[in-house]
Amino acid sequence: MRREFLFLGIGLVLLFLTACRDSSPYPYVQLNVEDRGAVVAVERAPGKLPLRVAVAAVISPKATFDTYSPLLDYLARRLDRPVELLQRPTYAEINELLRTGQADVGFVCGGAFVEGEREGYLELLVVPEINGQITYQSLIIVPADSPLWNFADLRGRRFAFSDPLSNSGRLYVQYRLLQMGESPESFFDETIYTYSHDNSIRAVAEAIVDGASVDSLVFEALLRAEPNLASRLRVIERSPRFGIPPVVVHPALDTTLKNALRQALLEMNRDTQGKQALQALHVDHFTPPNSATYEDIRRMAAQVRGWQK
Amino acid sequence: MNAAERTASARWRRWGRRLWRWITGISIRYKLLGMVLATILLLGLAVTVQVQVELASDLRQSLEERGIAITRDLAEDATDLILTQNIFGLNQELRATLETNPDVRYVFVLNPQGQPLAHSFPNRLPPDLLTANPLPADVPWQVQILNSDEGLITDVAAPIFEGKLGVVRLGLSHRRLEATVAEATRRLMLTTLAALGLGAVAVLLLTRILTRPIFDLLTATRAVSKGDLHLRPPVRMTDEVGELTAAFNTMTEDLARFRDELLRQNRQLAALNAVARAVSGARNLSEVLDAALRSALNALGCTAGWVVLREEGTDTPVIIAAQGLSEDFLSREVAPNIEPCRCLDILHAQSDWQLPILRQECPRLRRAADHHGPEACFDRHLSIPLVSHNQPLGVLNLALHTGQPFQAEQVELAGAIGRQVGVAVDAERQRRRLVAELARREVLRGQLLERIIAAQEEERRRIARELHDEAGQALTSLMVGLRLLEREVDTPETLLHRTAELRQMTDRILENLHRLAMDLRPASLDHVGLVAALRQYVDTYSRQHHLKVQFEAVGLEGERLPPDVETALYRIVQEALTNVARHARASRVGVLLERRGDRLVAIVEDDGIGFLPETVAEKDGRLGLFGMRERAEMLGGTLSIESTPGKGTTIFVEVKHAHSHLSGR
Repeated sequence: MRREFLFLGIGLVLLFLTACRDSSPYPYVQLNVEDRGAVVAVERAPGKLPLRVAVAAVISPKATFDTYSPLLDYLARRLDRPVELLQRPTYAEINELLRTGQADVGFVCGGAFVEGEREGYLELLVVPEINGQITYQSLIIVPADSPLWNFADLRGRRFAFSDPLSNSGRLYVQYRLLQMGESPESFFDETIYTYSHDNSIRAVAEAIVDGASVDSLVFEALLRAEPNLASRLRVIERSPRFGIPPVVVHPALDTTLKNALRQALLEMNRDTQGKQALQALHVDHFTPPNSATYEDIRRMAAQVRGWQK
Repeated sequence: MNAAERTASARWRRWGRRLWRWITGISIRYKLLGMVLATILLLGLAVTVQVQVELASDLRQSLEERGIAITRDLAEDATDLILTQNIFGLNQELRATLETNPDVRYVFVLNPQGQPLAHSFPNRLPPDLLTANPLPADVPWQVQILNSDEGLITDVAAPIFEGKLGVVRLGLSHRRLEATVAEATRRLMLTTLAALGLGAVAVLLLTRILTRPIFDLLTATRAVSKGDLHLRPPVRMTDEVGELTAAFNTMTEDLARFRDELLRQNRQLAALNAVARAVSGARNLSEVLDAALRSALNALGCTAGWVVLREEGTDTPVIIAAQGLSEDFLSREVAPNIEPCRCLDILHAQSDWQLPILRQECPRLRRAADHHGPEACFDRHLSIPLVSHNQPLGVLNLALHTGQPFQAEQVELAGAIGRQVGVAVDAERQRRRLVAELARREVLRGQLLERIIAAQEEERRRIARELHDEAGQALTSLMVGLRLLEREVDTPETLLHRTAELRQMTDRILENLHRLAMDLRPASLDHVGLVAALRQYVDTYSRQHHLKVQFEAVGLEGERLPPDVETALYRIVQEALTNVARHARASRVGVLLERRGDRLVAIVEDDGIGFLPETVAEKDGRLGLFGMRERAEMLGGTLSIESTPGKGTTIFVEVKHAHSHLSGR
């Protein structure tokens, strides 16, 4: 009897050894297909043309996506058309989208706006009011344990700009140095572009650079979101107040759309969805723009970039 | 269990038994080889399977982890690219991923609607993949193993920006993993094969070492079974086989010793048998000794020898038989006044005198050497004592050549032969004595017969004389008295006197006749039995011979014995009392008749002058004694006489007695 079990056992083992290679329990897929496969999807859904909203990389693309998605949903409802968020790594590219009509409306920095305005392809649509103000500051920040206590101490240090066209992230420092008779190249040992303000803040917090100039609105919002960052940073200089980053359109944009857009944005605080979107944007409400608010920036840009009036 | 199952089970068992027989029949070398190889093979297979399973599992795990890491990195990187609509960058990223990771078979990105944004396939994205491995919401990644036309694929799905931007899907081919496992398996199999080879060689060498002593033992065992006890397999190791070999050698040695001993004893028995056969065929002492000497010479490998016996009575040692000795030697040595060999005395002088000894200085042999006789070639002899009933009878001497070896074994055999011959000699002598005794008894019997006839004649004469002298005279007197009575009819007073005289005379005559009849055979023996008859006889005897006789019978009152027993005992007592009256000059005689168990004892003792039983004169009392003994022996009994001069005589008769007549009545 025992011997029979032994034979049975040996047989089972052999069976197992030979059989375990076949009959996979996994689902089957055919990898090599000639023409039956799927192609890359068309980017636009059929039907109405989407409204294309370009957002400059004031903050990182993901943060931007999260922040602007409710707004886009609101606009899609108000305008009854799909809305598409366009992000580009640099302000220049956003400006280029607006200039060439690849984007219909843009959320840009004051520095980029005055550039487009001068070139004649941007005009103000509305401006956001944040904490009751339509202005903001550029902050010069250093790591909390840094030995630097004022702007002049940054000489010969590494410094981070956010974007070449940014006002708070570059233009102000350029202007400041120009006043001092310096240039970034002469004053700093090294400069880098982080292409967003939150990147600049993190670069200082992690002491990758010795200092950076950042948007006060972004700085405050980030500290609200991540309170432990505050202990690692120190503000050594605050700029005068500048015009807040505006919402802009191409001057040649269809007037109906332009008006509809303006109305939708200005009426956001009267709408539940709009209120939620404003909350996500940390914006009180949108107000009609006042071009004079950006005069300081225009002046600084003219001086720094050597514009001929 | 039904019939078919039972049949099947029986078949299984039959096959099992056949297999078992086959397995157990294989040489131990191949059994060991099989065991070791099977062990190595099993171990190798087990390790291979184990490694295969574990390696595959580990590699799959690591592949999966790598896939997850790559996919999540890709999802992270893709986020900004998608958000900034950098599809080219996305494609570049996918291509870079594909190129830098050889295991990655494909990678593609789906938008939240499940439509492909970018993929790494040269042409089109296989539609099967779109639906495979669907990613549930709020899951950081999902792994699904797929079976494809290119083998197994680990498909990893990771959400881009929490799924808001779609999914990255990465496919990792198992080919390299399987190749690695296959390579490892191949190496393990090669190692196992090498181990099998080494194991086989090692086992063959080892079994050669192990089985060599066993084969040696086998050879030795076969040799032993054929009767060759000289082979001794060498003890090569001190393990069990070594012990077995040592034990085997001990056993073989013991066997050899026992066999030699057996053969030796057999030779001795054969020799003794030959001696016994030779001796038993002999008819007289001389022939016995001749045969014994011849057999002893044969058995012990000697050519010459002689036997010396103590003569009966004188104890003088005499050469009584000889073999292989010259006439000169014998005539010289049997001559009187020649110095005999003292071997018999020397032999008996030693403490263990029943064992043979070697005599180096035999005067007989020395004299033979001096005379340059043919016996000069002997320089010593073996003296074998001839013993019977622990008594030395003589010696059997075997002459030994100068330098002839003589072993202990032969000495022992010689001793045995000596004892046997001694017994034979003793028996022969005994026989001769018995024959002489028989002859003597025959003579006595003849004399007794003569005596009986003479006694009968004497008895007849006595009766005739008594009848003539006494009864005749008395009857004549009676006749005369009667004649006188006729004459004296007329004288009544004389007649009365005469009648009284005649009656007295008649009484005397009657008494004399009665005595006569009693002497011939007591009628009372037939009528009143032994005890009463003897008592009557003893009374008469006592009165006749004026002897005080005390008669006593114990345990026989009122009992009748068989007539022959009664007659024999009556006659023996009668003869004994007659002898006492004739020779003893006794004053008192005691007769005792007693039953002792199943025996009857009759004792007649007197306080007479006594005698030496051996010196009884032939014609006189000896025949009487002989007659008494004859009567006792006829009844299967014995008669003994104890007598010392001056101390009286006791005759003691004992016969067997059955109770037939007591119980028969």
